[in-house]
Amino acid sequence: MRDIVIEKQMVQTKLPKDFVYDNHTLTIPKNIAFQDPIKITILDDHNDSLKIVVSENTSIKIILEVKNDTLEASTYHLNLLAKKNSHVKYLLVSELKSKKGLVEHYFTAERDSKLDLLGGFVSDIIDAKMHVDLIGEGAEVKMRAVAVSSDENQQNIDVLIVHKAPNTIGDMTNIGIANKQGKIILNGVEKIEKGMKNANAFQTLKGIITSDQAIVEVNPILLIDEFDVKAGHGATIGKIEEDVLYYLRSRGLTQQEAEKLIINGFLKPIIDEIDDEPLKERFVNLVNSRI
Amino acid sequence: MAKLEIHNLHVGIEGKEILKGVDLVVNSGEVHAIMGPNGTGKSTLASALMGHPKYEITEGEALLDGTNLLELEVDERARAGLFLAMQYPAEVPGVTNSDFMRQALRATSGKDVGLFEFALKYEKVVEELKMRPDLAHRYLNEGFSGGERKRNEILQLKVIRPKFAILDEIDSGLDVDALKIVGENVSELVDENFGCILITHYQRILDHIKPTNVHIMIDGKIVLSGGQELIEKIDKNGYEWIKDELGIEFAEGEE
Repeated sequence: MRDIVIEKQMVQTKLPKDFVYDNHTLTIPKNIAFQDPIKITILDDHNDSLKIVVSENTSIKIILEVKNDTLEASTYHLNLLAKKNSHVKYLLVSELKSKKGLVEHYFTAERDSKLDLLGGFVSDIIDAKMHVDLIGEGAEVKMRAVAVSSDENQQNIDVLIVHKAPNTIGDMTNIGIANKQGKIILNGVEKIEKGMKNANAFQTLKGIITSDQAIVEVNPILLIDEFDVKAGHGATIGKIEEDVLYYLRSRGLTQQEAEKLIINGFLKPIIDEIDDEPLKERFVNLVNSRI
Repeated sequence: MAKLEIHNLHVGIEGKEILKGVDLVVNSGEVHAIMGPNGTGKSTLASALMGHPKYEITEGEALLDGTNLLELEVDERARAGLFLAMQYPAEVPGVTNSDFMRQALRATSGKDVGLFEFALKYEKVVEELKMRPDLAHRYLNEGFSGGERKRNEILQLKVIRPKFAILDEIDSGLDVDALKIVGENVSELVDENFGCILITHYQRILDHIKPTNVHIMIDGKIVLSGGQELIEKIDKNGYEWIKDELGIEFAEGEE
């Protein structure tokens, strides 16, 4: 794995070959299938923007870590452009202690590009927007976002996928897990504009509470202005299934051990994608400290 | 030597009484088959003993070596040495069989088990139950066939080694080969430290696990107890004869 650390809008590490960083924009060269993931860390800038451009025909996995211990307002404007026929697997881990965090992330998918996006939100108080525009025919996005809140945390997660081209596929699975007095609002919106024939839009939203004081609100919304499409959505909300808890407890696990195991299970698809061991460990520990 | 005693157990669900006074004593080394038509409360007995939250105990007691199980939480009952092989085990996505089993073993044995030692042990039981070698890394019951789930229950039983196991219709949905594997594996466990309650309404499984005691449950009560001769009688004549012999009326209901 290659590490790129950006601090105060300067790259602190050596950039991989042919990568260019200029004016808040990191450009990844074209026609390369990267075997190893790259990890980008934005450090200690609590008001920052970054644009990542993945050039034509390139396939790459990117881990972006947004981490900040300040309690002050923190705002991040992030942007990912996937150019024609690029394949991008992208993991965003947001770990902000700020009392007023804002992460706005835009994604643009050009023709035949494929985006596999994962978002893990373990910030304290955050408004996060993940907004994907599918602008080229054949573009696909698979979005999985998970928010875990606890104590006095409040997380608003907006996920929006807009189909601006025909034959595009958008699939989102978003999970909010609220513990203790945590609160999560999860909005999933998928929009198919007029004329965007054969677009596919699917969404699954899941809200889980592990205490009576925790709150999760899920809002699945489909806005479709075209007849020739496939779309489906579903939302569930509730406590961890009683039968699953009962099953695990019948093997000797305490209620708390069982809940932890189940929640870690929900997060497994995200956790498995974190190739960076220290980051993975920190993420898992942080999640578990909230349960 | 361990003892499981059930005295005058009454259990209801949503205000409706299902078990109407069950008495049963099982010692380790014994296999008790509880048979009976559908809907007579056999599975209710299993779930109530394990502590499923849906069931309400209205009267009676269940003692494991003198400890009243009914006052314990579900996980405390498991740690006390009770195991239930469930009729419909839940799926748990994202939790691998081996992670779960290692944690369960730690909880029930009270000892930490080394990863390597555990892996060897687990692999061995996977082989004994003729399950897929990648079982350890698959998610708990997710995408399992009915037969795989049942075998996974027995596998867990073999790893945990409780004092008493209740097998709730472990035979339903198993083909002939799987039935044999399950039956033989359970039989091998029975010794002076382990006893078993087998709930079934077929006699097929009893070809592989020979019960020491057979009970017939009708309408929430054990109406007849005996030995293996009862199995043969049920096999030949169903349950209708009980009506005449004992002079009781019942109708087969939904499970």
